[in-house]
Amino acid sequence: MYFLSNTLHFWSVFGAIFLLATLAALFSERAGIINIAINGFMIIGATLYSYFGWAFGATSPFAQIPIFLLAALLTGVFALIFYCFAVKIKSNHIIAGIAMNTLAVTFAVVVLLTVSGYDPLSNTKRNINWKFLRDLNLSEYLTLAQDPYGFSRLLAFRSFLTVFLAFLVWFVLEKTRWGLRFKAVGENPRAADSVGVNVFATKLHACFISGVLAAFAGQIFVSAVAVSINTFYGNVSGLGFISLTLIIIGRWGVKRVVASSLIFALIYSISNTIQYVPTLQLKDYSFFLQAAPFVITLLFQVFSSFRLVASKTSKLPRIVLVKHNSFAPAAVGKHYDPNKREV
Amino acid sequence: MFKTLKNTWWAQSFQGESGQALRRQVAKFFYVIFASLIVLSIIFTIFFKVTKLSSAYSGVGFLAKLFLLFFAGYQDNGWSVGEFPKIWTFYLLIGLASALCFRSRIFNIGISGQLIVAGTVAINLLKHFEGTTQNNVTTAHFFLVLFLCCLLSSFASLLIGVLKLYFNTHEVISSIFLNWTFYYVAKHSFTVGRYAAASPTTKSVALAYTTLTNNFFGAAWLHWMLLTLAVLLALACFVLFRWTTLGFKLEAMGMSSKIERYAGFSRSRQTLLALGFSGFLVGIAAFVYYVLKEQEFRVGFGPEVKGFEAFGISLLAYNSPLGVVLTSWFFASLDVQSLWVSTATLEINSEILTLIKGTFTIFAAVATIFDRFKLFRSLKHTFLYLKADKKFLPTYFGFKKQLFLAVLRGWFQSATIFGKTLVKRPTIWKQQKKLREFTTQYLWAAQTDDAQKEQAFLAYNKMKKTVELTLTQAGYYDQRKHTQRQKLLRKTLRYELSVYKNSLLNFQGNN
Repeated sequence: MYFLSNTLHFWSVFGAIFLLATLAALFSERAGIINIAINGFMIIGATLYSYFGWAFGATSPFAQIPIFLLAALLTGVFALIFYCFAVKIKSNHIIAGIAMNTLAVTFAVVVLLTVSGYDPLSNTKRNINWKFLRDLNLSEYLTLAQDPYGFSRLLAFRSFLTVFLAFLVWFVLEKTRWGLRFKAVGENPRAADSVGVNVFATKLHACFISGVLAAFAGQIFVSAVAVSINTFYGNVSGLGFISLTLIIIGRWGVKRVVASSLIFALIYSISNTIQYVPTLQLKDYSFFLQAAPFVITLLFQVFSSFRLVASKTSKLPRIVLVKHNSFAPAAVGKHYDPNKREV
Repeated sequence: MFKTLKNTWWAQSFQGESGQALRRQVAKFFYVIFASLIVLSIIFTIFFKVTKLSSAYSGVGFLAKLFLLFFAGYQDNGWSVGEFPKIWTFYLLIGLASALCFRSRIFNIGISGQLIVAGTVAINLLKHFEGTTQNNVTTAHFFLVLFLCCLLSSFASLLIGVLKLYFNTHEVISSIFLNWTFYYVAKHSFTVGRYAAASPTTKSVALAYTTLTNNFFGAAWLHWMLLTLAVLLALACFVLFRWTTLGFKLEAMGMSSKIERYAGFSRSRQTLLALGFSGFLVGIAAFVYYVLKEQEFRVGFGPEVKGFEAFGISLLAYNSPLGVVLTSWFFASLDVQSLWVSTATLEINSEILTLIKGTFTIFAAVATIFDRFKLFRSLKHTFLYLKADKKFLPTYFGFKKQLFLAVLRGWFQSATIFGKTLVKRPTIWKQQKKLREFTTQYLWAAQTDDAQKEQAFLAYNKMKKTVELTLTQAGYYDQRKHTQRQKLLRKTLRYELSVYKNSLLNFQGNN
C-alpha cells in the first residue's frame, strides 16, 4: 500500500545523495581533476555535521540550516588539501584521492571516538544527539496531515536544497563566464592561460566547490539514512564511488548527469522497496533485486558501447565502437606546468 | 670485501646516473616513514591531551612502545604467532596483485569483489563437503577449493578486462559495480541460501571446528610455507619486471596509451595477462583469508574493506614487488597487534590504529614533496669539504652562527607591535628620556624665572640637533633605505618633538 510513497521517499533521499555527489565530481572533472576523494569529502561533511550537532546542542531543527552551511564550507576548506596534493604537488590524482579517502576515514574515527565517550575497553558507542540531527521536515510546521509513512516525507529540507543546487550548478556551468572557464581549463589549460584565465585559481575554485557539494550529500546521508539506525560509523557505505561512474554514464554534461543520477536513484529505490510488496513475494530475492541497479547500469554501458551504422557494401549494418572517454575533458588527469613547453 | 660487493648487479643498480631514480626512491621511502612518525607523534600527543586518557604515554612514548611491541608481541601470546603468517601472506598477495595492475596503469578496484567471489564459493563448498563427509574433510577437498578460488577469482578479474577492452567500459565503473553485485550475491547466499547464517545479527557463516584439526591445512608449518611461496611469487614478479620482455611490455603499457602501436605488441593480450594474474593472486589470498584465517564469511555492510588496503600497501612500496614484502609485513604487524595490544597494553581503541595506516598512505601518496629534499647529499658534501679542508668546519659553523644571528635579528626586527620596534627601540628611547628630563628640569623651572627661558630654548635646540644626529646615524634620513616602519618611526619622533616645541611656545605666549 505504501509502495509508492516509500519509493518516492527513497528516491528523494538517494536521488539527493547521488545527484549532489555526482555534481561535486562533475565540477572537478570539468576543471581537469579526477576526484576519487568524493567519498572522503562526504565522510568529512557527515562527520562535521554530526559533530556540530553534538557540540552546539541545539534543539530546534531549523538550527540545522546554519550547521549545514558551516560544515559544508569547512569541508570545502578540507578539499583544498586535495588541491595541494593533486594540483600543486602534482602527485597522481587517483593516488592523492585514495590518500584523501584514508585521511577522511581516520579523521572521522578520531572525531567520533572523542565525541562519543572514549572507552578503550569496550566497543564504542556512537550515539550523538540524533534527536536534533533527524530530517528537517516542513510538513511538521505546516498544518498538513502527519503520516510517518506518507507523502509528507517528501517535503523535507533536502528536496528543496537539491532542486535549488541542481538548477544553480546548471546555470553556473553553462550560462556564466566563470562556469565556462572550468570547461576551458579542463579542455586545454594552455589555451586558457594564453587568454588570461588563471588556471590554478580556477582549479582551486573547482576543488572547493566539489568539497562543498559532496559535504551536502554526506550530510543528507546522516540526516536521512544514519538516523534511521541511530548510528553513524564514519562511513557512507561507498556511495561516493558510484557518483564517479554516474558522470561517465552522463558523459560530462550537466543535464545528462542530472538525468543519469536521478534514473539510477529511481532504479536503486525501486529495487530496495519492491521486496516489501506482499503480493509479489520477492522477500527471498531481495538481495538480487538490490544488485539490480548495478547490473542494469553495467549492461546499459555495455550495450551503449556499440552503434549500428548502415554499411555501403553489404545489407547488414556495421558495428561501430563508441568511445565513451571521448566525451571526457581532454586534459582530465593531466598536470599543468606553465614553464614546460608542449610538443 | 666492499669491492666485491660493489661489483654485484644489485649494488650496481644503485650506482651512477641510471641508479639515481632507485636511490631517490629508497631515500623517499625513509623520508616518508620519518615524516609520518613525526606527524603521528604530534597527533597522538594532542589526542591523549584532549581525551585526558592514558596519560602514561606521550605521543613519542606511545610510538616507541608500539614499535617495541612489533617485535616483542609475538612472544607474549601464542595467538599472534599462529595468525601472523596468514595475515602477512594475505596482505602480501593482494598488495602484489594491486602493484601488478598499477604498473601497467590499470586501476583494479575489483580486488574486493574478487575476494568475495572466491570466499563465497570456498565457504559454501567446504560446508557442503562437511555435510557429505561428516566433518572429515580431506586434504584433496581443500586443494580443489584452492584451485576453484584461483580460477573464479581470475575469471572475475578477466571480466573487468573484457569489459574494458571489447565493450569500452572504464575499469573503474565496471569494477565498482561488479564489487557491489558480487557482494549482494554473497549476501543472498549467506542469508537465504543453503548455508545461511545462524543469527541474522552476526551474518557470518563459520566452518566446523573439526575441519582444521588434524589436517594438512591446519598445520602451522604450512602457513609459513605459504608465506614463503608468496615471497617467492613476489621475487618472480621482480624478475619478471626486471629481466623479461613480457614484464617490460606490461610496464610500457603504463608509459603511454598508444605505445603498443610503435612497439608492435597486442595491448589486449597484455591487459588480460596482467588482470588474470592479479586475479590468480587474489584467489590464493582469499583462500588464506577466509578458509585458513577467519574460517568464516562475515557479511558486512558493503564490499570487503580489507580488499581496499591493497592500494595502501602497493603505494607505500611504489609498486615494487620486493617493497610490497616489507610494507605488507608492516600492515600485518599492525593488524596482529591491534586486537590484544591495543586494549590491554596501550589503553587505546583498536580503531585508532587505522590512523597509523592512513598517515603512512597519505605520505606515500605525496612522496613527490621529498623530491628536492636531499639530506644524504648535504651530509656527504659537508664530509667531503671537511676532508679537503681542515679549517672548513670552524668557518662552516662560524658562517652558520652568523646566519643564525642574522635570522634572529631579522626576526626581532620584523616583530613590530603597532609600529614600534623591539631592537631599535633603546636608541630612540634614550632620546625620548632625555627630552622628558629636559621638560622637567628646564621648562618647569622657566615658569617662574625669565632668565632661564633663553637657556631653555638653547637647550631645546641642542636636543633637537642630537636627536636628528642619532636619526641620521641610524639611517632614518636616507631615503633609499626607508621602509614603512622607519617612516612611521620618524613621523612619531617628529611629532613628539613638535609637541614639546609647541608646549614651549605656549608657555611663552602665556607670559
